[in-house]
Amino acid sequence: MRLAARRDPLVLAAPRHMSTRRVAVHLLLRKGLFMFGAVVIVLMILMAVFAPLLAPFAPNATDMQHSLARPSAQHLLGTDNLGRDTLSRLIYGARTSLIVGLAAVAAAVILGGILGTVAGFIGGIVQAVIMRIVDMLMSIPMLLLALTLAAVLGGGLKNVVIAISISMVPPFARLMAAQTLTIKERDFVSAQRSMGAPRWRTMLGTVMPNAYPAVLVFGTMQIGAAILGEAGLSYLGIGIQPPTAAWGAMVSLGFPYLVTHPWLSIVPGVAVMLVVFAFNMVGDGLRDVLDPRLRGTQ
Amino acid sequence: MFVYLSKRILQAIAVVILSSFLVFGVMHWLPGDPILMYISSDTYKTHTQAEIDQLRHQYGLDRPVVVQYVDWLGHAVTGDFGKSIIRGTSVSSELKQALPKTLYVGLTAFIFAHLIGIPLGIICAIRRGRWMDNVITALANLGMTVPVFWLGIILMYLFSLKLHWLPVGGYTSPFEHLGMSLKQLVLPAFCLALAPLAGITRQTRSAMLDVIHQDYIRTAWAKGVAERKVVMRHIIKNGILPVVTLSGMAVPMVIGGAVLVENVFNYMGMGKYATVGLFTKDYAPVQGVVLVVAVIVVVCNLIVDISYGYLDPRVRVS
Repeated sequence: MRLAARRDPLVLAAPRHMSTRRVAVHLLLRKGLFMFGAVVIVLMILMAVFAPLLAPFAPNATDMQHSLARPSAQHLLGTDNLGRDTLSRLIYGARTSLIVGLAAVAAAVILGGILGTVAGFIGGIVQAVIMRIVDMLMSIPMLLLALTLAAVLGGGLKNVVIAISISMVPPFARLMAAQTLTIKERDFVSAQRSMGAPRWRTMLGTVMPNAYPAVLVFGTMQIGAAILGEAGLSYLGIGIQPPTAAWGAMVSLGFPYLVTHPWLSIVPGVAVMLVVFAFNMVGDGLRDVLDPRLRGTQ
Repeated sequence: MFVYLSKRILQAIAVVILSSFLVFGVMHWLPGDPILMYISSDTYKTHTQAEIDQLRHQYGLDRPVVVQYVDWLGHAVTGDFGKSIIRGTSVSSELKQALPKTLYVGLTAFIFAHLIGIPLGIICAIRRGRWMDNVITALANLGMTVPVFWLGIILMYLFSLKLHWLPVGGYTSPFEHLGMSLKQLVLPAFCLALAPLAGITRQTRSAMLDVIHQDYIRTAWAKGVAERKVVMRHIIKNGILPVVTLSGMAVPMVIGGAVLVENVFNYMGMGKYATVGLFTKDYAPVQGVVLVVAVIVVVCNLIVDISYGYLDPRVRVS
């Protein structure tokens, strides 16, 4: 039992001075949060994929005769000011959030990854130019940059993804540059170089795969940040445009009815929190499992 | 140190100029046209194409973007940020009104986040694995996930609309009516502080944990140094460096949050000012805000870099 437990990377990550029972509680908690996050994400993805089957009503179907209905058997979460079923819009909102979160981070990983790898691997003037561009993007707060870009591009799902991914490129580029600098010094890279491998192949085939644990951990957490960013943009009305269901926009739509119908604003916000929390916890768990040395870097 | 410092300052200036150009360029590719926005706001009069061109020429919008940028930057250096096309008002004087408001709420949030976050992180590290650590860490994890605009709405619902303890929003100068000003400050400042507070708590915790396992700490404990002294002099002094990095990162975090929070609480600071400008395709206010924000962020990064040299002698040498 003890031996089996010792092989668990989570045990290795636990502090030495703890008693066995405390280690167990500690790990259960950590694993519990990781499992909780993973389950929430899987459920969210299922909800997004099967939204048309799960939603009791069409998300954009208005019914002015039953506008601002209180929760009932027919409308579990009531209806909004246009008589649209809140639960159905909540379910469809998961689609919006997940698509933006995953797509924006994927684009930022690719763009930032390429910039960072090239900067770290080639160095010199190339690195200086790339890093100054990254500094430039970083000097504008992420939300302000995303907001400006979204306003320029004009909102909507595709433009929100573009705006958020561009504003997220800098941290990924920095991470990749730092990773590349350490990986570059490893023996297998010099071995490859001495065998005459072209630089692009070393970058693509060796540096990038070796950096994946760090990128995976950071990327998972950034999905949460991207979802928060989308919610913020949609709240301001510059993000996802109506009638598409988005949680941030639902919060702002419920605002005028706060006193009489507080759940209209509260429920979509809780949904955002739940998803972001899930991605953060899975990221935390992955960090402990993939690379104990990474603990404490974020 | 002097060479290092002047190099960093030159770099910082370059970054500010680059980022202001970025936003300038981006704003001028806006699909909307501020002149048309301005005209549509004037319902009493219809404009001929010649008049539209005249207006465009009057605001210098018919020139190439680079020329406009150089012209704008030249004036911005002297403190003239141009005019709002929609309102015809001076952006500089409007920024002079908005900046102190954002600094007021932002600095309060920033200081609050540090005053609470650093001690919480230290307590967590020292009591690692015990209930206090678990509770605080869980709360910190939760604090990083809350959408600030939503939190603002919920707090407003609770404390303003239900309990009637605090005003719904707005801003009063602390020199005019201190009590009212502080009452209006509480909720937005708390909303802005939460994310950096959670981040600082986590960062302090992990930074202190890294130090706690060092041999010299064990030595200090072994030779019977008092707990207070071990914590204050050995653990905190050696472990505070990563927290300083996060302090630098908290600045853009607070400003970014201010964009949302100021809109929730109808607080006419820089964030709301920029949002209004973006909605009306008004170039000058947005460019002014971004330039000021970029200067603040870059200066803060510079301060972080310099304090690194102060806190860690190894940085000074290399």
